[in-house]
Amino acid sequence: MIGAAPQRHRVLALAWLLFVAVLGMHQWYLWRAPNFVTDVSELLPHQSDAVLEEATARLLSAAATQWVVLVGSDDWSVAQRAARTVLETIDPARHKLQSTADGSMPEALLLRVRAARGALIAGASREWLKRAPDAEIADRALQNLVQPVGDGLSSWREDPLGLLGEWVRERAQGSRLRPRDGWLWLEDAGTQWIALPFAESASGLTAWNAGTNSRLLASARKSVADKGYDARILAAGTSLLAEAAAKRASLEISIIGTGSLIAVILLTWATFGSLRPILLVTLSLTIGCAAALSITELIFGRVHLLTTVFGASLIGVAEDYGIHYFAARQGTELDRRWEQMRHISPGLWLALATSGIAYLALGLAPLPGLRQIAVFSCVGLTAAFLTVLCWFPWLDRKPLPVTRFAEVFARSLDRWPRWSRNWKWPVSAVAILALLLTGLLRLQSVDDVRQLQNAPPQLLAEQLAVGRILGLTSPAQMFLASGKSQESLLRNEEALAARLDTLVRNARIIGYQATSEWVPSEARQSENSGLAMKAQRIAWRAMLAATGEKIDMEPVAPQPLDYSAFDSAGGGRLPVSMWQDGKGDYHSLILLRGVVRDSVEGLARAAEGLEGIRWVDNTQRYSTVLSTYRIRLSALLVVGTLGVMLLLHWRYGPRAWRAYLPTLLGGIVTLAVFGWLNTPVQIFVVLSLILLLGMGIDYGIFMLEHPGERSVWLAVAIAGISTLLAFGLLALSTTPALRAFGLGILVGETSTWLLTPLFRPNPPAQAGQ
Amino acid sequence: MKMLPCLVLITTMVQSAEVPRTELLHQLSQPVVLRGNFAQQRQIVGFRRPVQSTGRFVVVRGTGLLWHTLRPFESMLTVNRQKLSMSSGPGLSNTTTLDATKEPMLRTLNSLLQGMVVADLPELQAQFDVEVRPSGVTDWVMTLQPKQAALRSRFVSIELAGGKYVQSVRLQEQTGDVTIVRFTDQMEDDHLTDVEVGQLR
Repeated sequence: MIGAAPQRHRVLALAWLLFVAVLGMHQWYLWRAPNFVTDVSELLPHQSDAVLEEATARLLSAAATQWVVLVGSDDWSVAQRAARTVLETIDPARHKLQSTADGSMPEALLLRVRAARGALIAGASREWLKRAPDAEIADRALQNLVQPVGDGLSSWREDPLGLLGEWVRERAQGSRLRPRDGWLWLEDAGTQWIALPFAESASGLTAWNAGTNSRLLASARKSVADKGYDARILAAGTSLLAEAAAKRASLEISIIGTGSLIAVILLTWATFGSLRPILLVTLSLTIGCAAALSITELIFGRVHLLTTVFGASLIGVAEDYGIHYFAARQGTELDRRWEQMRHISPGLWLALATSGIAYLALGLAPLPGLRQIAVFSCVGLTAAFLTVLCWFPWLDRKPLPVTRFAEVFARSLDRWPRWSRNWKWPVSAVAILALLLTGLLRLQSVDDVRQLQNAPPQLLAEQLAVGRILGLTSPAQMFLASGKSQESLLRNEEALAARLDTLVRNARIIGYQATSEWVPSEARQSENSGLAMKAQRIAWRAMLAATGEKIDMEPVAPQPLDYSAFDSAGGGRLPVSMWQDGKGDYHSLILLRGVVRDSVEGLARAAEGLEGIRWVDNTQRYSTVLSTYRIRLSALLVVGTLGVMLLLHWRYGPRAWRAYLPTLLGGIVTLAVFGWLNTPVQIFVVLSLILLLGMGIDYGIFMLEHPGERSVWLAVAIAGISTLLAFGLLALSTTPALRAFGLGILVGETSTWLLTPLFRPNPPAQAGQ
Repeated sequence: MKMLPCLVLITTMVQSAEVPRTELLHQLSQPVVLRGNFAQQRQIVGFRRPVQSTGRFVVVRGTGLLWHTLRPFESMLTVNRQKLSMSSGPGLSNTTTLDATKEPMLRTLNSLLQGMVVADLPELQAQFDVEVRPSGVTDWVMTLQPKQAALRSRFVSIELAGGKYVQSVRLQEQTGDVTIVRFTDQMEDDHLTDVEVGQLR
């Protein structure tokens, strides 16, 4: 029997076996240490600007390994007991607990700062020194003279006004946390909070399958509740978000994957009533998915979790080829299977090509995540197709009788209505189009990067609450300062800081964090020194008048603080930094606290006309990118549609409209449904339409390739149902973007699938079947 | 197995060393309100003679302190749970206030100032490791060590001495300044005047 196989097939089958063997080895290597990425930002386009890229990377790498738990109660002793319970559960050995966030300065830095006494003056003190009359300055100095204790930083003669103490206190405002009974404490609206900041050694972003911290946190919450402490627990951190994303993603992968697989198996079983088609179709899917994963990993280095979620829906598409083969084989003689394969393969190739083109079009968007998805899907489809082409006739060695189910199903085509030229059809078509128009007119669009975020709302709410309570800086909006030298960078920062101070006074933002607050520019430091020395002389004279004590009245000039001294004394515990780029320019970030929607406009304006200051709004920037590409992809969709129409005209001539019209209508129905549901159209809906173009047309192609063949209808029907299930399940995803995508495909495919047989050509002659 | 009793013994010893020998303080009076006079000598680096100041104090147990300097010029220091404020100038019109919820060190400083005048053990122990020992001159001597690591370097030593009342306090700061305060004419009371209530608010 095998002798009937052409020589060419034997070579192909062996070549494919070789590929699968290599693939198996790579898979074994891959799964020993899975390395999936969950960070949403990796899906987003890379910064076109190297400086901005560096800035973002610095911000992210600092945040990636840290997370914090807040334990709060109205009663301080309850808060302490609850915090102790939490700590015992999460970090009994206290390896991860960070206790240095209490706003105090490292000892080495304090030493260095003391030498710069006079050059470092808090903003409020500067204002006061500039306007205060001599008598007021004298009063304040004398008042300090008779206090039981000084500020611990300077003796009275060095700093009679306690200016350095004021400056150190101002720096401590960067953290709201204060030490209390050995805890990091803060009071917020009557609640006593204890902060437990943790730092992980490895990046939380790649430890996707660990989920350890979320588990520890859950059991800590439980112990606190079990002990009956009336305490609130809030947790925040990139690693927790990553864990939650990973957990959800793996859940979705198993739901979508298992759901589609079960659907495929059940349909295959019902249709063919034999184990062999099930095993072989599953084999083609397994090889398809494995190849997709391996090649994606080889090309991109790391696979994003969203890719695999999306990839799970591939099962519903890649099974088409195997089903088509068996549908064609069913009820025919075993010996004719090579011939059958040759008979159906042109259609399969064309279907693969249109699907592949559609998936590749996804990759044209500048989103690295979509490129992965495109590569993943193309490879998966191709590998599944090649498995069918190269192996199925070899492995399929028994007759496949027609089942009753298949018989009944295939016959349903005969009863399906068919477009004809009588008056009823055009009239109802016009009515339906008018109805669709009501939906289309309500269409809106949205471009929001948060659509890619899939963290549970509870976790996001806690992140916001923790950010507000701790007064953390915003990761989304900031200023980027630049300068040719450290001095010009710091001066540029100071020019901005003056404007930001106004915004703080007007309560538009709570505060900001800038390097120049810690290391003022030389110009500012020498101005400060002048103010301090003048005040010092006033204080000394007042003291002489009040006590008669003659002291050495020779002022000591401060030793200015420069950035490198500051940086080395800080010992890695500093909240601010600057860096130098390849061209030798210096850059720093000015981070903001308490940014709300209303303050963004004022902030953006603050940068206007300032040299070396850029307003960075990541949310806005990503949304702009998404919007640009939504429009470009829409154009691409139109061009692609025209291209496919031309391709079909080339092969089918005047009958081509029967292949593409159902898909065009399906797309229109999809948009109308989005309009009716008041769901705004976003880039992922456009992408779903592109994919619809690639896949929906397959049905038309099969129907045109083999007019009147019931087996083709059977294959189209089964393929359609399983595709629908796969993408329908995607519509259950918690990631808004994937959900919109799933919904788009679900509606588009359903309508295309229902419409396709409507436009099927008349059978060539009633004789055939 | 023999290790266990040994360990228990060691831990008990360690613990007992940490507990201040409060029995030495048995005759210390603990009124709700205590008033009195103070005389302060502050030896400041670079000064030939110490800066002398005198005035009156009012301390309310667990609540706050009024430190009213009268000579060489008038100045008022007010300490309570929430803040520390200093007033000076004509009619005490020139005031600076520090908020205890914002200043990292202020809680410790406030506890020290309130606690040192009356040797308020619970108040002091919240922020300091307290050690009490007998003394030849006075009935007892108390030394304080800040619990907060960042503050430990700020004070070289803090020492209180007294009998029924605290008689003197000696504070030596890292900056080299040394303050010695002597208290006299203590009077016990159980309530504040309306003016004092207003000042302490």
